[in-house]
Amino acid sequence: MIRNKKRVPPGLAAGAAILLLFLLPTVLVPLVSGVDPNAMQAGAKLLPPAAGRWFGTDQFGRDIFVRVFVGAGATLSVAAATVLIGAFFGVLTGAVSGFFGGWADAVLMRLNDAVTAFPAVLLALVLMSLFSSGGAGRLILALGVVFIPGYARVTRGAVASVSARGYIAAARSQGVRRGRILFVHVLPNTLPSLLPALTIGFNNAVLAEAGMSYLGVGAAPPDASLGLMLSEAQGLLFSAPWYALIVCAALLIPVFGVGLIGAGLQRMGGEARA
Amino acid sequence: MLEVQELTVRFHSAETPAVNGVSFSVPTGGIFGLVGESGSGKTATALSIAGLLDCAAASVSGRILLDGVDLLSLSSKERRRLAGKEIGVVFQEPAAAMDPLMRIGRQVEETLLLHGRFSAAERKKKALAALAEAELPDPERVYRSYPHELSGGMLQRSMIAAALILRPKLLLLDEPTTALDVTVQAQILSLLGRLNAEQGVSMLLISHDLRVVGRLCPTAAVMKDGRLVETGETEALFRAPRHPYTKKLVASVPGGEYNGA
Amino acid sequence: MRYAVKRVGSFAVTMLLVAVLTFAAFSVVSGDPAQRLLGTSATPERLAALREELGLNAPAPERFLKWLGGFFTGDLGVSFSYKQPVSELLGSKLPVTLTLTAMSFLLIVLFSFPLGLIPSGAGGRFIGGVRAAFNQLSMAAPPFVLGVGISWICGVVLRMFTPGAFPDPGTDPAGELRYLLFPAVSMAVPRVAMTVRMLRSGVESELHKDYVRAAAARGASGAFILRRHVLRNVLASSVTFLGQTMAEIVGAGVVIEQVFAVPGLGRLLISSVLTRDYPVVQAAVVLLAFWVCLAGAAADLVNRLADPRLRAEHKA
Repeated sequence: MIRNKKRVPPGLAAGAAILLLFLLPTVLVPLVSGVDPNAMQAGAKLLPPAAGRWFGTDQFGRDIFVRVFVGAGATLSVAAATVLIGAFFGVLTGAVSGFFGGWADAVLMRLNDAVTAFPAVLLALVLMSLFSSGGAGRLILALGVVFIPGYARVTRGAVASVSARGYIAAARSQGVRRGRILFVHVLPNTLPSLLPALTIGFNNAVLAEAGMSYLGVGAAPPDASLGLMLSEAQGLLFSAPWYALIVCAALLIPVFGVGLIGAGLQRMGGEARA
Repeated sequence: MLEVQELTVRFHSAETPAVNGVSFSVPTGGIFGLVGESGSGKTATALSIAGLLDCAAASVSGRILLDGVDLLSLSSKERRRLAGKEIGVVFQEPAAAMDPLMRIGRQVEETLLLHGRFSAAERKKKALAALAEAELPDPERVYRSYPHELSGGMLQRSMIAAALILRPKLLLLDEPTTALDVTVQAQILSLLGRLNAEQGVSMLLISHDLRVVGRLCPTAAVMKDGRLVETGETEALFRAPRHPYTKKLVASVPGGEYNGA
Repeated sequence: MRYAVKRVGSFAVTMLLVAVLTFAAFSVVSGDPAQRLLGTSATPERLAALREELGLNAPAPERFLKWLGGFFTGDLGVSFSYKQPVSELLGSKLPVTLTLTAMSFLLIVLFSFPLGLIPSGAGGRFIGGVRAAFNQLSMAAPPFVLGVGISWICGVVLRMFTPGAFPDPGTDPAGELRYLLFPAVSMAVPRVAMTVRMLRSGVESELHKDYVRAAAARGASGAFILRRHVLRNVLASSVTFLGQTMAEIVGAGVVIEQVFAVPGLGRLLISSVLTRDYPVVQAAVVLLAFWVCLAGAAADLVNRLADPRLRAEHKA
């Protein structure tokens, strides 16, 4: 367990600060600016950054500053929803698998192996092409499914190692119900190893969403999404290189911040175990 | 033959020294025992004699004289020339002390590879002889085996064979029987006693177990918190302990079975 | 040897499973291909005729076996959008993708092993700095972001190549290789960083093991121990990681081909997904999964050769 009295690693604090500084405009800019992110202006195509339009405009004359934060909001919320789905089912199957063992474990893990035989992109592509419609929900569902095996594997390992501890055996010997042992005694103690996995998973989800949208199988134009914007910006590398750089930065800054948080959590978890 | 004088080992990560002004000597051809619980500094003592302490992690002062030469004044290259050739070491966990990917034979003869020129055939002959000397049945098979294929007792015998292959003057035994079953412990101890008598190799035996030291060592010292609290003949030490800590140690041995030798 | 037979067997079973899943998914969900080919205005007679022609009236297991056999006979059906045999289409794209994958894998091995295995003391500050920079990169940049960055720096700023101008297939092999170097690097860099980190922590944990101490007690120098004991142990444990690396590159390649407009299997797959060209999608998916599973099986076999403990486990 993570205890309050433990010192917070500086990396974690820095990561949280970076993430917060990025989230603030992501939430506020679309509300406050009053600029329609999809509004096109024929006379203002590909203008370089200047006062009033800090990041310039894209090939349709749309304001990049506003669009970047709207797009980031879209990408981050899809990623968060993906993590929720993947973590919920992954933790559930992993916990059952690791705690009860036996044939359920064998079956679930073989299934896991079969799914991981596909590279994540490939699996997501297959799922996307199977779901015929549903917009952002389709992407969330596809990516969520792709991330289930990873969470299941981490949870299974953590649950198995916690279950082997003395106090679990003690609880078992006292006749505590198995479900109660799993949810009250085992799962909370796996948090030190699950939390870092969640942060890594979130980053992978952000990059996966951006990747799928970049490929054109995620978000659809004219909606803003970092992946989609990157693919548009790439075509304009010669004429408006700042566009691509800004989108890359908007993608990497939150990922970097969450990465720092994850590393910090991992260190705290390691200390807790030592 | 081995003289340790005022040995002090200070780990940079700790405030108090792990070993604090320890002095004792191992007579030529004798076996000296060092008793203490874990954390008493006995392993740090052994490692500094073997030259295995990481200079970056610890500073060592005092003198360690092997036949009059101060080991602490030697360069690391000169230390390496002595390691394996003049000083052999046997560790606590035989399974961990073997490279899991390498056949036993190659590890036993590694010392030959490092010190002097021996042909492959000579190396194998010597290794087989050393394994036989360590009372391993079928040395040929052991020579070809991987570590995971042998029992703990057989691995420890192989480690002893490897440590003694060049007939060093001094054998450091760091808890050599702790990881083994009780029956195997007794066999290893009698093997060590026989090798000491036949080869005349001096030994420094480190153990937390009074009975082990009592069986093998005529003289011994008791260590606590980095200091020697009592030194003397093992018999006397255990029959009439003077220091309160030694008394406690002796009292904790069930049935007083320490008088084996 | 018996293990090899068993491993090939389990490889075959996995591939069969992949094929069944893929086929089931697409034949169940995708609906009627004849309808798709002819559009909604087609007459029932024409639909029936086309169904007969495509063999859609046969029961699903029979169609599956015919399709599976197609991987050996080369008859995998006809692409909806290209109106071209699927096998021909895949065959024309495969060489580019294989070259790209191989180049990237080679780059990863070539760079990460020296960087990961040279002890931090040797080589001094420069290598340490390169290492730290790589580590930072691995934390954030996925291949497609890196790819855009590399096309900008190498293509637009330095003019080392023209992004998007892949030579026509077959006309300029040297030019193709030169062009592929840039996507290959984009795929390799994050993976190099991860491999270096894996190798370094491997070396670090091996160095703290007792057998290293035992070798030092025999008078072995640090370099000797590294060469004779540590490297073998680290390499044996990194084989599995390299197998996974192969899987990762295949996935990354699908995206990177899009970034650099490389006319390979990945690009074909994406465009087929977008146009719902199922015969192409299902064949390409199985082909890529085959490649990944093959890498995994190869890694397992090499691993067993390198580690006697694994051989013992399977004997028991």
